[in-house]
Amino acid sequence: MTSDTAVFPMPLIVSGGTARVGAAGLREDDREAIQACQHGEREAFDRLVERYQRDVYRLCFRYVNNHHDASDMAQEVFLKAYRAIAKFRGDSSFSTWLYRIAVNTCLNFKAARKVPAEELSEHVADGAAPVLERLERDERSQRVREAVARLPEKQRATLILKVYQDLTHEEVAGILGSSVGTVKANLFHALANLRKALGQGVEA
Amino acid sequence: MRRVTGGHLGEDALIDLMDGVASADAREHAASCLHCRARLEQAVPGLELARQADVPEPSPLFWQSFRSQVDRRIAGRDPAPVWKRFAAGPWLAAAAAVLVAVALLLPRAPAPVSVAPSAPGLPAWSALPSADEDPGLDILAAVVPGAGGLGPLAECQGLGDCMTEAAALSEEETAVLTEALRRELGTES
Repeated sequence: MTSDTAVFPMPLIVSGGTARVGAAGLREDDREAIQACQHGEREAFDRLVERYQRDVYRLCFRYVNNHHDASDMAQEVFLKAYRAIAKFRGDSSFSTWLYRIAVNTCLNFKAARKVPAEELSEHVADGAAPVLERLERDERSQRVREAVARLPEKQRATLILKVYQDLTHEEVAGILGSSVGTVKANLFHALANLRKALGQGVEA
Repeated sequence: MRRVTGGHLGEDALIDLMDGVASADAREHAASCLHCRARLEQAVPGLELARQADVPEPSPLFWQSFRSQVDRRIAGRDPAPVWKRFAAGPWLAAAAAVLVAVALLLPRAPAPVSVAPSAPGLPAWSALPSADEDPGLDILAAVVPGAGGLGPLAECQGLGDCMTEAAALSEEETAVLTEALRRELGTES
C-alpha cells in the first residue's frame, strides 16, 4: 500500500484534507464511494478502482511475477469486490478488505495454472538511470521476485502484505485469518528463507 | 517475551527486535546469545533483499485501459480471463464423468446384428505351388538320367520303384532312401 492510502493505525489526511479516516479506519472518501455503489451508482466504483488499482496490481504482481497475469488478477479482484460490495459493512478499511480478496484470488490463481515468464517489454524504462545500472537493478529485482514467488504460501503472503504493502502485523493477521504471533513467525521464516535462497548471489 | 526451548527468543520476539519494538529483556538476551544473534543475522539481510525487488511500473496508458476492462467486465461485456475459464475445467470434467457413468448404467436394447456383405473368397493357402509353376519338378526331371520328363516317374508303382527307376540306385541305397522319405512324409507303403 502506498503512503497515501495507509489508513492504519493513525488517522491520515491526504490530498488537501479530503481523505479523513473514520473510527474503523475507513477513509471518508472511500465511505462515500462505497455508499454510492451500494445505492447502485456504478461510476462511484470507478473512483475506488482508480484509487486502489496500483496497490492491487502490485500485490498481484508480487504473487505471479508477470504483468499479464497480474493485470488479469487485479481485474478479477475488482470484479469480486464490486459483486460483494453490498456486504461491506466498514468494519475494516476498504484496502484491507480488498487485499483479503486479492490474496484469495492469488491463491486460487496459483491452483489454476502455472506462472509464465515475465514480460518486460510492456513496462516503462527508467530513462534517468544509466543502462548498465538499470539492467543490474532489474536483474537483481527479478531474482528476488522469483525467490519470493518460491516461498511457501503463508510466508509469501505475509511477506508481501507486510513488507511490500506496508501493513501492520495486526492487519496482515486480519487478512490472512491468523494470529499476530503466527504472522511474525511466518515473516521471520520468509526472510530467513529468502536469505538462504539468494545466498551471497545478491548483495544485500 | 516468549521464549522457545532452550530459553532462546521466539520468531515473534526476533521480529520485534528487527522492528525496534522488542522488550528490554529481549534486547538484553539477544546481545548475549550467539544462537539468537545468528538467527537474527539470517533474517535481517532477508529484509534488505526483499526491499530490492521493485515491481516494474506499467505504462501510464495501462491504467486507463485497466479501468475500461474492469468496467466492461462489470457490465458483462467482456469474458473472464483464460485462466479463470480453465479453473472450471475440473468441475466440467466431473460432470462429464457422471454423465458417462449414467449412460453406461442405463439398460439398453440388444444391438442389431449387422450382416456384412460377403467379401470375395480368398484363395486357399498352399505351401506347394501348382505343378505348372513348381521349379522343383524341372530340377527333378533334369537329374533323372535318360528321362525326357516325368513320364517314367508317373508310371512307376510305389515310392521305392520310382526312386529305383529315376536314379538307378542300388537296392540297399534305395531301401535306405525310401525309409528316410517315408519317415519324412509320415507314410507307409
